[in-house]
Amino acid sequence: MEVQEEVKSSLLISDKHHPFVYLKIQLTFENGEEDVNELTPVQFKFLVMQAIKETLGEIGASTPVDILKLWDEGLAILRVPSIEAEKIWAALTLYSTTATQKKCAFRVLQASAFLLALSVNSRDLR
Amino acid sequence: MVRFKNRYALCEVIVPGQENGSINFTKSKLYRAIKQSIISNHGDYGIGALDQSLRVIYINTGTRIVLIRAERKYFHMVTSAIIFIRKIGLHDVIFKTLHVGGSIRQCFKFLIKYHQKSFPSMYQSCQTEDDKIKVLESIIDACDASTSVKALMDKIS
Amino acid sequence: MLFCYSFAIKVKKNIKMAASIKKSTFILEKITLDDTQKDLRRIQEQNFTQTLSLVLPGENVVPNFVLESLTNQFTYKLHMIPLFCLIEMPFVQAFVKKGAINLMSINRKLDTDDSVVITPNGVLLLSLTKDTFQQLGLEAVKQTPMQRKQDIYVVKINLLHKSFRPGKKGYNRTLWCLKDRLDLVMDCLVSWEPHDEKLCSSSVGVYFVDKCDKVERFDLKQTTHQYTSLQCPKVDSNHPTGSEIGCNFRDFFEWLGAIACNIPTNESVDPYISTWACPEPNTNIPRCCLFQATGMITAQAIVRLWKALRHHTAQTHNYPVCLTLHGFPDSIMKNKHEFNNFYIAGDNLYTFVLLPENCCWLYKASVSVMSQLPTIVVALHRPGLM
Repeated sequence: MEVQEEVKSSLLISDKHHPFVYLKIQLTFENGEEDVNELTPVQFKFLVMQAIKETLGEIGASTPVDILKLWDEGLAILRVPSIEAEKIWAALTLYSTTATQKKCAFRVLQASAFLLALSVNSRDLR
Repeated sequence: MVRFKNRYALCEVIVPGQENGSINFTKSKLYRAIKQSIISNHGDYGIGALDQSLRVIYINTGTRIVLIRAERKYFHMVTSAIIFIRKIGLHDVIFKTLHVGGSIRQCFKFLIKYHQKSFPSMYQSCQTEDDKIKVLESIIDACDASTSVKALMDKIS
Repeated sequence: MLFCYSFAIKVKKNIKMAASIKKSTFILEKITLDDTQKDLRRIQEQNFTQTLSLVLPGENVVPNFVLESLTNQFTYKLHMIPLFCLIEMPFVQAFVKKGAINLMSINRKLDTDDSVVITPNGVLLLSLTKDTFQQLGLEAVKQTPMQRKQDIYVVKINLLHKSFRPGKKGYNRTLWCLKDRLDLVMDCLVSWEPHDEKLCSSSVGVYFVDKCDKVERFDLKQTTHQYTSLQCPKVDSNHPTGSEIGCNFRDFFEWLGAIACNIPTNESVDPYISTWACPEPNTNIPRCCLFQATGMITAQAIVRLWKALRHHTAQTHNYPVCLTLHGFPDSIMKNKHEFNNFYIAGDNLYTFVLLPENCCWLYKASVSVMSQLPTIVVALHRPGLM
């Protein structure tokens, strides 16, 4: 981080280190086998952790992943440390069957280093 | 030409309860245990990255020393996975990594030094006169280190 | 096992991919609101704003001045407009010269499709894929490293140049290229703010009626959300990196994002689900209002809103008031000087935080790397050293 102090009473800070990456994801089940609207945040987090555990193992699953918000239709905002972001992204993409043998998929709809950017869906203007 | 870079981990297998006993499992059993540990700790990604290069090079059941080879880039996954191995077959084991080297030769050089250092404690723990003489003889043998490395290398090849 | 190998390769590729988000620019600038009007200049730099979001702590409803400042602006959606219509002389004479025109193509992805933009200072920019560029035969400007990577070419045409008129070689060639060589048609959004206040800004819509398939009004979508009993972090305007009475600027920005995404700030959530909490130190504010408008918002409308907002907050000023401008992720220009690029994300955010003592924090957050940043920092540093 570079901090420039007190130059004509203005101040400029530039920070290129981003601690987190935010992902907007959607969980879908094949043929509506299970109602995604009925998933509780705990169940959702469990599925996310399952996905990570499958491809990255126990050590990968130790990454702190936060579910900041869960809406209807399985939409959620995830906060992941930026160092592990692409591995977790890959793990979510590769997840295909739940523990109860139901086919499902996580879709990453949006990714950004800023949470504010996810409040607007960038490409849905029609 | 670019060489395929490997790393070698020299580990001591400690069997809890019996300090100086020998181990009796084969290379393939150890390999399967390491692989299983990588799958559970690093998942499909870990095994995908390491499956090609992972190999158990050398196993000494008497001194309980094993040498494991894997690709350099993902070697941290091997070292972190082997500390989680608790059982091989029916034996309880603990892995203690002694040395990580870039070639088998370097690892054996280290191994000889490591054994040389353990002579004094072995000598002190000897019960009978015969044992003491045996230890002293091997100390004299060990002084000619270069031949020993060669002998070891011959043994595995 | 074959799957495992291909997976390892996939992850390696992925690591390269997401690097572009990680290199996002994030700048905080502290501005003193005085006669220099630095804040207004910053707003005017931002030409194509898709969404405007306003956080008004302490307000129950959206004040009228906010809605008023956005009403007298007409945006039209032009269906399938042929691009040569945009360089025809009647259009240039009547609109580009006599006002500030904002035109950009929509439903076009910057990284994979062709797109077009006309900026208020009368420059037409075409962002083209390699195929279209080679068929079109117009000269492109120097590519940025990112554009070179993505095989994108930008053609720049200054509509206000004195030799850009019928009869001249350059004009004729451009017209021929756009009309006869390739029949480029796109959906566009257009809005026009005339210099002469007697003219009506709706005439741009009328002009295009017989040029394209269909012209329709494109209204702003407005949403409001009221919060009651919200935790708001305290801000110390002089110490953005955090102090005892104010939180870190990055945490505050994250909090703003949480408000915009309706993430509850004061409910205790199971730490298994989320470890995010409102940054410390914070206060409880009884009510807060979030207003969002989506569409194409011109810089002029934002300047009107900003002036009204400053006037309003001068009277009641207890909490930080935040105005965020979300630039179009698919517009060719990020602001007046820089090219935008879309690679995984195309975020381009400007956030103004109004603080007490005539002070303002300006956050600039955008995805692509700003190469000229170090020089700015050095230039600012030098007077302090001497």
